[in-house]
Amino acid sequence: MLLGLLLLAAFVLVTLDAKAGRDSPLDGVRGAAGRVLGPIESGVAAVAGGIGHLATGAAWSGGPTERADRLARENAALRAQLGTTPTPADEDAANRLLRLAGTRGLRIVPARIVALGAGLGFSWTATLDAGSDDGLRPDLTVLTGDGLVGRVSRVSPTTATVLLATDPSSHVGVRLGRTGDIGVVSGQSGALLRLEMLAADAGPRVGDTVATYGSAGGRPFAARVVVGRVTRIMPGAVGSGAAALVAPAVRFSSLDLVGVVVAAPRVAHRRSTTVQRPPPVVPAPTGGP
Amino acid sequence: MEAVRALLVGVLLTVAVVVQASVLARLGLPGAAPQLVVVAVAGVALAGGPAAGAIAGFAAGLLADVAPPAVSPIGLSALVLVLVGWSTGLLRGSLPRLPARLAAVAAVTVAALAAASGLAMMLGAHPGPWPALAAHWSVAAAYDVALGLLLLPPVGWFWRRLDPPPLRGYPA
Repeated sequence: MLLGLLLLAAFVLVTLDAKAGRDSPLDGVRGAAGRVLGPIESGVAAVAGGIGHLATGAAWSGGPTERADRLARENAALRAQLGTTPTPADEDAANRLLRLAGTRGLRIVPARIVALGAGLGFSWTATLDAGSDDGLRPDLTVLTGDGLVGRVSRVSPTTATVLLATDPSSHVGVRLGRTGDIGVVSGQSGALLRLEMLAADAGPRVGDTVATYGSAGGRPFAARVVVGRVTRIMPGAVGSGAAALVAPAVRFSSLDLVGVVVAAPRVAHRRSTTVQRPPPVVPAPTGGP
Repeated sequence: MEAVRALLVGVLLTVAVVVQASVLARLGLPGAAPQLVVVAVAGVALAGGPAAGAIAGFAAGLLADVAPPAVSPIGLSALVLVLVGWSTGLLRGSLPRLPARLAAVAAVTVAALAAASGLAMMLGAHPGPWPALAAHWSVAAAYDVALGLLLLPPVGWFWRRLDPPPLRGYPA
């Protein structure tokens, strides 16, 4: 009896939510949970990160010099945990991100990934510790200095949810770097992404770089963000363009500091140009009677 | 006592969902992420029986589907975890010893992940090739056995400690 009731309730919820998609009446519940659980997830992630720093800083050792070395390492790890001295990996990631933003003129909001999906279903999503209070909105590009991470799918005041490029429902319009041909990269719930070219004769080759095509106004995807590199050509399906597997430029297993692109680069107003018609050539007068 | 026990189970499930998302999923352990939520529901079911397991599964599933960053339809995990809780609770009497219970946790992990993949496929997701999925489920089951070793004894102990006292004046 109880079992039947619970199963029925769960089934009804799934049907309601699955059919309605983004306008689901249950979306408010997700928003409320985001407000409550988001900061808790950020806090737990920070604590776990601090413990991780301490654990890697400490070492089994004996003897006075080794002990002094160990204490020096623990000191550095504690300072890192307090945020006063970033770890080398943090600094490297931050530098690469800022360099990318600077050279492209992208306005970014830096954020950390604090949680990955906990549900049993197959969805590759991550939680950021920045939200609408920090200027985030749905459908913004999320990237690191290495390349595309995904796009923001929903925001709450202090957290945001990112749909990673490896999620099966993520489809990114891309261009092959070598030829400029257009295709779509989709996630496959695994390490590799799937590229499908729009034109049947477009031939991706192993080693080709794939970058985002870009959307209008840079939402949801800013243009020319590196997605990955082609690793294997697959026999294409009948009636469509060639298919290939793409290794992402970003290591999804170790995501930490990311940037969210909140404004597309400013473009100067373009002026129309013309080419002056060359003056008519007047044949030189020939001498003669 | 019932209320206190229910409250503590609620806290356990909330902590399991938050730790699963913020810590275990981000660890990047090879092969799969440990499914702490499944182990917690199985622990409650093995201590409290099918009804307690089913309710715990429903609550934990809803929490897992609603907590950021979940995007799968709300209720998917609830559907699977209700069945996990109910079936594990039914096995409570026939599995008195810990090793048998850990084997049940491993089997239930594989079943839960398989059911979730099946449901997700029916709703349009593409989980990927079967051999990789089967490997993923086996590694997750191994991690869950380790988690069960840590989690099942304390949950059972607390459950018995918080048993409501027998009614006075009636024969026991």
